[in-house]
Amino acid sequence: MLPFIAMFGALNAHAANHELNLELGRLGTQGEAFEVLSHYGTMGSVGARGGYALGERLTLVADYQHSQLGGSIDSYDEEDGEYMADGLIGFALRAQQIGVGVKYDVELWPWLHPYGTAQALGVVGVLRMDDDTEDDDNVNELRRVGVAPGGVAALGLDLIALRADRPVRPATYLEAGYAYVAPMKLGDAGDLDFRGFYLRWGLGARF
Amino acid sequence: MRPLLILLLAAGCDGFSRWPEESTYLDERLWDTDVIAATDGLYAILPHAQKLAYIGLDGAAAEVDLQGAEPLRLTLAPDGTTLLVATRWAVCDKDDRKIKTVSDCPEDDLRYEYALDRVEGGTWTSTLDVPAYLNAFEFSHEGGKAVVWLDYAAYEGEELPSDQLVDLNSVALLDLATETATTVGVGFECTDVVFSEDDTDALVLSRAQAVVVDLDSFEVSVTYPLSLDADDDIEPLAAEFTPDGRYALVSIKGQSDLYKLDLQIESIDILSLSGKPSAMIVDAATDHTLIAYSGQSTVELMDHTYFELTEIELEESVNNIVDLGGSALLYNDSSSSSHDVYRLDLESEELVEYVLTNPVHEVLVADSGALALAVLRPGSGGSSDLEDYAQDRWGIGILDLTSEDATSLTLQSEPVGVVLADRGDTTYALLLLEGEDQLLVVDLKSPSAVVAVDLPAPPKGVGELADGRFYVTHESTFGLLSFLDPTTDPVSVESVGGFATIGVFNDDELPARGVTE
Repeated sequence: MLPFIAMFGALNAHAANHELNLELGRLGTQGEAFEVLSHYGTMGSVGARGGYALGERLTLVADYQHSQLGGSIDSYDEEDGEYMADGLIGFALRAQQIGVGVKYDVELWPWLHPYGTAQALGVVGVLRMDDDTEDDDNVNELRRVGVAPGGVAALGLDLIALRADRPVRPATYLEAGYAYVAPMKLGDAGDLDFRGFYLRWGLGARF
Repeated sequence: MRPLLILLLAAGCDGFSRWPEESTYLDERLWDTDVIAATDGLYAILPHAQKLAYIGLDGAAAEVDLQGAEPLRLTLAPDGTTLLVATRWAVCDKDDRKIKTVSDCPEDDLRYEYALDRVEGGTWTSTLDVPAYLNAFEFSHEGGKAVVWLDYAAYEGEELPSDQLVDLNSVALLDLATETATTVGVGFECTDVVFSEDDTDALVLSRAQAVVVDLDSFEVSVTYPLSLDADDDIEPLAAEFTPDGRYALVSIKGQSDLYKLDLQIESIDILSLSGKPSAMIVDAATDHTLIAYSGQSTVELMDHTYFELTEIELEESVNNIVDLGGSALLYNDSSSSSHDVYRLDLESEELVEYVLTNPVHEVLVADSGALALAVLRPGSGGSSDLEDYAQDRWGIGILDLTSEDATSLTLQSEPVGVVLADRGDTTYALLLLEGEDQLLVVDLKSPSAVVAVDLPAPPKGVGELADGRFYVTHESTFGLLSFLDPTTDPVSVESVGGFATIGVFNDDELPARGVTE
């Protein structure tokens, strides 16, 4: 066991890095309720991540993601027995994900750093509903706000460009894991469940 | 790098200036516009969310907690506050902790249970022990009791909600005060129920028999077979009690016989009528029965002492009767050549004829009894261009029931909602016309002064509220109601909406509701 630990320590003999990245992400959604907004089962997002090196392998990370889901709704006309694709009914959810946590990485090679991360995650959602999007004075322009706390555990791979002599080095990473978020309560409209598949792809720099 | 930059730029834009491009669908409408108006608010079924919404008279909307059950049908009791809700909920017989929703449950293990719930003031109060497949209610005059029976036609071919056994020969007798229900055998296929004037008895008509039920004991008092031959297909058409409660008069579909059931000496007399009756009323004020016949320009008046028939000649045939208490309105809603409405005094047999421009579709009478409104449908046979103009259109006829005056007005389209209301010393008619986003408020005493009220969305229906205002339902996906007060100048309109989004994002969770004994 001791030789293994020694070898592991040698592999990780690298200086800690701060980081700044742009990200694309995916967060899983659960339940039939989400079908009104999207049929894909996940919610895509775009955002950024920053990291502050706390030590050789430990980094404090803060993550922000922005998402928008929804679209025009075809309503079912029972009298005609068909869907009315008039595009006047709109549902739109704008969600902000804020994550704060830690990242622990090891160096397999100077350019490849596997890591694990755990973050507390908060999702803030603003839901807009309108049953006549062409009428600016429509009585039924509705708005609901919900907040949901949760957490994420994920594993990832950092690819860092060589040229260690440079103060700023380009890097990219891909991480995947599991996210659990408490149901987001949107008032009397019901709950939305964000849970399950979690993915981030980032492009940025280490310095 | 470039795609990421484009995405970031897009994220930085105001995403709510445009709606997202994705298109999805709602598999069911969010709300049923056939709302029920109780004294303290309105109820609307939300089919997509499988919930019941309660909208108070102040416009505040909330979900009625039915403990996870889905509302199927709503019935308002005569007291105006008790709402009876036929409900159902899913039960999964497979015992597995992972099964949380209806979708999780294997189809073979999924079943539904049904109940009749009582709701008051927007709150569930109790569950009543009435078989789930019984769907038609007839309430006693004072409203505290009801006979619940099966109206199979209302299911429109769908399966009856039931357990293993369905009894097509029984009805349920419901006491709303004690919340008890008793099932009573009345014969196959109940067709009608009438209550005696003092609510001591109920007459239940079924195929080939009439059963009298005592409403104190909830037991069958007498069973009257309407035929001695079991193969005879006797289908009762309508029934009425005489005011003293001794006799029940039953007309038979397609026959010119009137069955007189004597509840005291338990006998049946068959009276011969001059034709096949199309309508019949028993007037308590004059203690007479009035009968109209299909295709005949006569009606017959019958006393309740000797049951002798007196024929009254009319100029045109009538097939409908509206009881005014001491008098009656007679009209024909199926003939294109009949334009008359008659007012017959049941005591003096005096006849007043109101001649209108078009055939009559229906007649509404104001609570005051002073005015009536006839909805007129397009007809034919005008003798001038102006008559043709009127004949081609819908209209209304205002009948002064204190005189012989009648006024006909022409409408530009079919009325899809009509309500009469007495306010002060006048009567208003509120009219919704097809294709129009306005409500017409007509003072029936001054019909030329019509007020057109702009509505926020195309209307679907109109009704009266207990606080004197009126409500209009609208074609609006998220739910929209307007409350109007026609007595104010200008007519006040307050709209409330969005209630149909209640529960729009709820999953199909299996409710924890159990069976209530």
